[in-house]
Amino acid sequence: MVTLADINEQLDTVTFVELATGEFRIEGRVPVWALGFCPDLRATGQTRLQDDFEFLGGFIEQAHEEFLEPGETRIGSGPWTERDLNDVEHNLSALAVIVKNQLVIQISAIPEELRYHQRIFQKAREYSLDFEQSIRDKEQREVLLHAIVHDLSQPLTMIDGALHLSEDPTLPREEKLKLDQLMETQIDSAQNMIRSILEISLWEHKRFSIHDLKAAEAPGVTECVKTAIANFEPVFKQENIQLELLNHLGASEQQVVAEEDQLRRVLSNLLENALRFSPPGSKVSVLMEDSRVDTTSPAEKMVDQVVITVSDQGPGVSESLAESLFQRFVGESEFGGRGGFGLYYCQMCLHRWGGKIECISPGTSQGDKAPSDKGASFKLTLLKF
Amino acid sequence: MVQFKICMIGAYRVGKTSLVERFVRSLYSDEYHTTIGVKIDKKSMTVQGVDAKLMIWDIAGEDEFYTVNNNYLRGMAGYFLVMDGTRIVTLDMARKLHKRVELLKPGIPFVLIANKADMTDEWILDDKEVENFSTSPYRFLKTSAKSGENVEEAFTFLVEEMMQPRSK
Repeated sequence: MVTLADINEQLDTVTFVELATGEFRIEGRVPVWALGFCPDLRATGQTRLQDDFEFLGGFIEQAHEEFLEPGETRIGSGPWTERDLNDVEHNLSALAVIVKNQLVIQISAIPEELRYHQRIFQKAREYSLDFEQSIRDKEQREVLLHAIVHDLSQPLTMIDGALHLSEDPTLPREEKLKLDQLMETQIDSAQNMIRSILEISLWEHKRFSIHDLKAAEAPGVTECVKTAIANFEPVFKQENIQLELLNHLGASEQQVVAEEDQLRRVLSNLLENALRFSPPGSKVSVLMEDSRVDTTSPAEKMVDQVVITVSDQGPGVSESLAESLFQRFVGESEFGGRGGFGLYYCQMCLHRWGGKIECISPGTSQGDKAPSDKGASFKLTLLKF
Repeated sequence: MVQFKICMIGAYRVGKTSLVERFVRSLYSDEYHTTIGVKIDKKSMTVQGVDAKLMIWDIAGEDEFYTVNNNYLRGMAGYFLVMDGTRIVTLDMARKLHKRVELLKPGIPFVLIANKADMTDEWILDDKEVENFSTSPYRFLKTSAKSGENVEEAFTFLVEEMMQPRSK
């Protein structure tokens, strides 16, 4: 005749019945693995499961609570892993049932079952991670696409401006030659941009590190700003907007932690943005100054920075817009024309270089720091090399 | 000796098991083995002159396939809410889990952990995003199960918090 002991042995299972004392009496034989948790079980035939198995304290408590509810007749613990007194790891699961008003706990060793579950979960989670990665890749591709569109429109704007100016029959020959030169520069610039934008797509694999930046590669900030301003001067002139540089950095060139091509594009993006929102007859200023900040961590060292602030006298930026301006490319219409990829791109670059970009406008919480009571200011903070 | 039950909760693959492995056995492996159900470990430590025995419940990470069983949190004295600093979705999961634990055990001490601090190149979690994470007292730490950075500190801090007398 088959007994419960035979069945338990075959299933590598052990069954206990709860006694009035709160202890549990074993039914049938004691499997070897159970002795690792309750070594005296063979001798005494009963034990306090709550003390032997860390996991079972809560499970038995749960069983008592749930069996008070009508209709509950069995509860499964789900798999758990626990080490015995000899520090041997066991994969187990338990089942609680009420038999003749007594709580019965059946514990099973489930190495194979657990491995099976683990394989399935592992696969599912690996697919989930792949999915997360593919979402990031998709966003990256969108960003790249917008970068191409946006950054190519910039030199085209300048070429367009130069063409219009060169149509002026009263323009002296030297000025026309300058404009031709500017157009050539812009075409070169567009080609460079395409190359640089393609580089951005590799950022994921090719990280920027301040430690890898060589002195010869660290751009001179004054030269970058002056070049960007020189490139935009014709269009500003055409739109009757004054463009001024306020250089408080001193005579010597200051190198910063950045990539030169990208820094030029960041500056161009900000100037183009200022241009678009400046009414005729207004002024756009570019202020360059030193800044020294106490980081207070980790070594309480002072960090030298260069701050470039591009300010316009346009309609400014509201609080809600300032908050989302750099977060993500959403679409320029949602920002009343402000934002778009250009500023997101700036933020990506500054973040990469360990710097930051902020928007300060009288309409924002930082409005008291705004250099003027109207317009918007974009403040770039770059680390000195 | 005082005994505390500590739970490790968070999204999957944030490094909960690796943190426990680092803390309990000073081991680390780059291989990922998903936890099924719950894995229990124990370790004793002395904090502020008091011997404490920690029962560490490493609970399988929650996702669309698996929900943390609230019964696993019974008797818990404190917990680690673990995120992966290179995956922003794990912050959302941490918020969700914290909300759930707060309903079950309001004000229970916890340490908010952004793990994988060694992966600086891929780190995307901004400290500002975890400011005001909870109205309950908590501490935020960046850890690395790989290098061991802040792992011992995180456990020490949680034990200190759990030893504080608390109003029921």
